[in-house]
Amino acid sequence: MINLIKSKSLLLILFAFALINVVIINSASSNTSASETENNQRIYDKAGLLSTSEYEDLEQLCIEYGEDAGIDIYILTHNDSDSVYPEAYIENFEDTLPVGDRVYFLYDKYRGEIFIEGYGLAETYIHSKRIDLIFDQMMTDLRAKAFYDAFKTYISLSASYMKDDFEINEDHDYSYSSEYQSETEKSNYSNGSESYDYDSYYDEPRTPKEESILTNLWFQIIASLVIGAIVVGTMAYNSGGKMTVQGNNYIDPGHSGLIGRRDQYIRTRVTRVRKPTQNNNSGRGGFNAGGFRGGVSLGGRSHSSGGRKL
Amino acid sequence: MVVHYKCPNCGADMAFDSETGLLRCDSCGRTDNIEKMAGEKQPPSGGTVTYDMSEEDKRAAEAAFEKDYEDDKDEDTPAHHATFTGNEATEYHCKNCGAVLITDTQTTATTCNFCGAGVVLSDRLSGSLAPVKVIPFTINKAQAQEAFIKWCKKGRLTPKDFMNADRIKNITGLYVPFWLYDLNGRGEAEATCTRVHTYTRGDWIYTETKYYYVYRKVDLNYLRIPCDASKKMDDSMMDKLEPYHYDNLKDFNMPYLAGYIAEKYDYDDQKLLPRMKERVNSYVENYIRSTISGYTTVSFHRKDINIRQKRADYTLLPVWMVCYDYKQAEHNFAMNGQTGKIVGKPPLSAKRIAAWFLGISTGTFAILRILTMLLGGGLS
Repeated sequence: MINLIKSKSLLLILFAFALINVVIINSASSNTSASETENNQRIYDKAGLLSTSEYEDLEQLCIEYGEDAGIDIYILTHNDSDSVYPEAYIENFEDTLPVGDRVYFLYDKYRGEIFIEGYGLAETYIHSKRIDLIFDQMMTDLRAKAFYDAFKTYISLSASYMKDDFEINEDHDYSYSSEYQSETEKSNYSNGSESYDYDSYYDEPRTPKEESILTNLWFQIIASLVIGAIVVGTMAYNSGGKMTVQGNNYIDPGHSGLIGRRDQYIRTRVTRVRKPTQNNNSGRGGFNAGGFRGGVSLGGRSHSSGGRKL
Repeated sequence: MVVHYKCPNCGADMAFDSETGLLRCDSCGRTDNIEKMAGEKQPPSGGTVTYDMSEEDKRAAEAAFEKDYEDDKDEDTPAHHATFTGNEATEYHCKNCGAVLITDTQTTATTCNFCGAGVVLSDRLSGSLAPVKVIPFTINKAQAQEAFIKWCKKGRLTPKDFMNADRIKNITGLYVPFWLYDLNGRGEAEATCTRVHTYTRGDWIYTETKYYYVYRKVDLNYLRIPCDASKKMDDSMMDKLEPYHYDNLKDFNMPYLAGYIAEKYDYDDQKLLPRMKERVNSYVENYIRSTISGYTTVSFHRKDINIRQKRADYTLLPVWMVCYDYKQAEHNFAMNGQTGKIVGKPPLSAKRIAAWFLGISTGTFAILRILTMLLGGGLS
């Protein structure tokens, strides 16, 4: 009977561990599948704005200009009401790829917003002020729904900015709060009517941030089951009484003790690591000292950013 | 030889009374002080051999540690040298009624199956088989039964009908043979320890690890560690019965056994010594570890521990054995006859285990959810 119970609780523990394994394996496999998507596709036209021939033309342009400029040029569009706000959408996309030099243009058709982010070298060269200049060139075409022409402008301008060393942004620490900067800097690069309210999404929950392992529902269920199994297992194990004596119960204190001790210092070893940068805990972007706007993705990649409402 | 304690006043059987610690006649109420019953006393003849450890230690302390182990006198001191000769073939007759006493080869005290008189087989308690010490029962049968029922009710995983404790088959007061070992343990250990200190300067976090060579040498004496010397008794169960309090440890006298069952040892102190050494080894190890403090990490690269027997006393310790019938199976429990501590595996109820498991799991889950909600609220 007792053995049966023991094996039962053992089975439960095993079951719980098996569940944990499944979760870990799943997450691992999703990582590998993400890296497999590293291919030559540059345009993800989920909103279906381009015809097939336009799409192929632009793909070709992205690759040609990109190779010339030394970056990968991406165009993303979508019309998804459930998607996260534009800045995070690109960040999440970038996080699925290996670290690299990339520039993204996103047209969020549902929200009617456009967004550009630059990663790696593109963060330095295609900074927020240049992003605004690119937007200025694209606006007329975008409003006329001439997406092909607008995207072409984006591709060629992005590539040309990569070769322009005048006023580049080397500082990628965007920890200044946007409120502090808004008065002085926003007016510098935002053209009045087209100003983009970056703060409008600050209250929007960033769903991936919430999914820390500790707050994950399944993890909590499994952890509870494991704790239950351990506690009950211990109770069952100790139900027959346990050993309560230790060496101290029998030691003869008058005739026992240390008869020799030495604590000798040998050496010291010092290692150092850089303090983790605490730029914007919310990860939602801000400004650096030069007034350039940017942010950090959940995957820890910093980027330049700029956006507008159409 | 069969010893039977008859009341000098009324002729009824006398038995040891756990409440007063005296030999008592239930019929007329006469009591006799056991320690004063000189005539009945069996002085321990081959009982103990002691060894002058202080002299030995003095010499060891003067010498370097390495020499400690080369000392030719650094040996275990056995308590008995006599070879065991049992009287397995002897038939005993009850002095009271003349009936044949049903005994097995280990029995040293029992009660007559016919008249119920408590008898002691004195020839099995003499010579090398003479116990040196005894802890008399302080819990009597009624108290033991009551304590057992109480314990059954406390069981959190035991089935409901077991908790009634209404199927106690029998409850037997048993003097179990033990060896009480006095041991000396010497240990020497070398370890590398580290102290880790972290601090921040500018943009860098520094981790400073200081390495130390640590050496410890201990000389520890342990007194009266019991080790069960009966083949019948489950070793781990007997270990769990500890501790016994030695302030009630008495020189052995046969009347203490009157009215109880007693057995003689199956294993002598030499046979049990390896088991004892293993146990004390872990004690010494723990002691050494406890002397090293103030370090972040400790990793031993040498540990030498030597355990020596200094003395072993053949001692009878009181145990109530409870035999419980539950669902066609017997469950045996042992109770420390001095402190009332109970050990033994009770039956477990699958239903109650499931209930506890679900209860704890849901409780934990609820707490985790609440924490998540609180933290989630705090973050946004």
